[in-house]
Amino acid sequence: MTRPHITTPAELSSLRDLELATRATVEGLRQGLHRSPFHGYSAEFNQYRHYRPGDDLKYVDWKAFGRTDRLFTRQFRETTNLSALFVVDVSRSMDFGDKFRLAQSVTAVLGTLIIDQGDLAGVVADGRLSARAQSDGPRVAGNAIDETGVAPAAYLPPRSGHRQLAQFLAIVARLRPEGTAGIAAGLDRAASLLHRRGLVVAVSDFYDDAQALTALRRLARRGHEMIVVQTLSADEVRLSPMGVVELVDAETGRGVVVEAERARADYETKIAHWLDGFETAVRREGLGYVRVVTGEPLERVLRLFLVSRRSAA
Amino acid sequence: MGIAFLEPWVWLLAGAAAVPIAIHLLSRDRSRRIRFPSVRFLKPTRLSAVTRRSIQDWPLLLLRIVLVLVAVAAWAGPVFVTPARQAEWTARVARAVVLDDRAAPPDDELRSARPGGTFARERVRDAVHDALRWLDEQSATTREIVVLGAFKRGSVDAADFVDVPDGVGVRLVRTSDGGSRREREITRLQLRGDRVVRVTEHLTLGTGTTVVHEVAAAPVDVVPIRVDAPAGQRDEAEAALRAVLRRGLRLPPAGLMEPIAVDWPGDVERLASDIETRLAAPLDGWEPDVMTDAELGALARPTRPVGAAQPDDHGDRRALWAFVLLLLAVETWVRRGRVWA
Repeated sequence: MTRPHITTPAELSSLRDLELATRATVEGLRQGLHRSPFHGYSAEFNQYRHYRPGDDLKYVDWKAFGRTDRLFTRQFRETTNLSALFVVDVSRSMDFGDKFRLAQSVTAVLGTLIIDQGDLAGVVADGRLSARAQSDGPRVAGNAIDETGVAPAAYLPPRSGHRQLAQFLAIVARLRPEGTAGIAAGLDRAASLLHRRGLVVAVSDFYDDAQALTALRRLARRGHEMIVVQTLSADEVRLSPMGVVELVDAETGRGVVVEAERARADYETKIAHWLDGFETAVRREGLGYVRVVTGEPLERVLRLFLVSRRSAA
Repeated sequence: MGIAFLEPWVWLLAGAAAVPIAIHLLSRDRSRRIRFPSVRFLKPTRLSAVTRRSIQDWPLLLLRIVLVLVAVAAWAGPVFVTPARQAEWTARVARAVVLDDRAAPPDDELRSARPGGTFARERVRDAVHDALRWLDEQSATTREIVVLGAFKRGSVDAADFVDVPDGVGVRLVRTSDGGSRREREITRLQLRGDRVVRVTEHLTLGTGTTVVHEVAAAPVDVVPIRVDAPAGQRDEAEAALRAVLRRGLRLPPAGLMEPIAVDWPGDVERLASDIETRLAAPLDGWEPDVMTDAELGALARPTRPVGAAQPDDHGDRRALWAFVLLLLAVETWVRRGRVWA
């Protein structure tokens, strides 16, 4: 059944907020970077082969002929743009303070950067997208709405162009952290959807770090370039003083009664240790890693990351 | 600068400050449930009974206690006693008006619709007592009782004001002559030249003035007064009688019905006195039946400020309620900071 094309004022507002914030951050990043931090695969040199009659003379390497007195023809890989797929964690653990909004912002900013430079970007979230978003918003490929009116996943295939950018931002703005599956499920889904090499950007808190690392490795082995964006809330990195509370795990529902002031030091030590360990593991795999925490200036964090990434390239 | 309260009894509610403490301690047993991304790094805290009954969040608790106390203070009607305000209070006079009803004409409307601060009873003394009770409730330091009336003789006396304490002024203001202006006619015998005439005069008697109009003067053929004197003193007695007649002798209102005879006392003054006694001219109607200004002045008392000025209707509730709202906003901000999302 087709739902009427109705967009609530709240949805419009959130979309515009995201667009505006994204545009401002992207402009700021452009001014700081000057050159694109992302590299496509177009016109990439592959190998030499002996000249055969009929070969286009413009591909003959005349310098090599001068050195070796033999004719070689240069061969290139298939000309293609960068294809980026953003995998956004929409599990309940992301629903904490402004954490999910930060994840949306990071996705929107990086996606806009990629689409604006003429490359392809898409998004996949293995979680829930409201039925209204399915019917009213842009067409989302690969989504099936179940009987409850809730789509189990959102997927916008990587494409380029202004229309794609609008769809991309609309999808990202409508994502809700109400899913039950972690980022690993989203990465597995991305692996099944991607048929050629590309850039995969995983945005999550990575509390399911073991499964996530496995999925990341699997994607990396398939030749995908990986960027891991770990989004966290400042209030989960540093435990706020709140007296005796029962903290309920957003994913499992398990409750732990703690006196925040007492548990603080131990908790902060453990989570810092875990974060460092996860970062090390990700870097060891040769994957890009950036950690963004609410309250920190997003533009500065992303600029540092993109500059370091370009330097490494 | 001090602070006073218009309704100090409200401070009995200051015990409500214990409510946040009780809520804080009681709610400790039912710890709040907060959704958290992951509890894998959290070690459950062993909470001893002592810990569970101790104050956890002092800043927030103190903020709430202050909030309750300020709200109670605002309700109690605080007044910040500034020097300017004190001066204003001191300059204010509480004035009770007492109506001398007996002097005033019966007026049912006046009796039934008297504003606060105006008192009238059958006896001035009772009205003064009412006025004193009312003055006790007033905040002004300068207090006075103003008695309005015609002040007929006997309506007010010093006994009516015996209970008025020192410092409370008393003023008596005459509002009318109370019908005291009277018209009288008197008749006098007076020697004018060589002839004795019967003079009729019309007197208009006011509170402080008497206007006399002579309306008639008729010669008297026979003087109805005879002075019996020894033969040797007869001329002297006759001369004394003429002297008395020259001054004028007031006759009774009904006139002199028959001649009178008096013995020669030996001098003019005593003769005049004896004749006036015999004539027995009644005094009634001669004196005004209202109290004179001098008599009223004797009953008046000076006014002077007594004690310290007290606040009245100038409460600073608004300022304190605004402060309460500010504290509420701060409390909400702090609470949200504590509970996170």
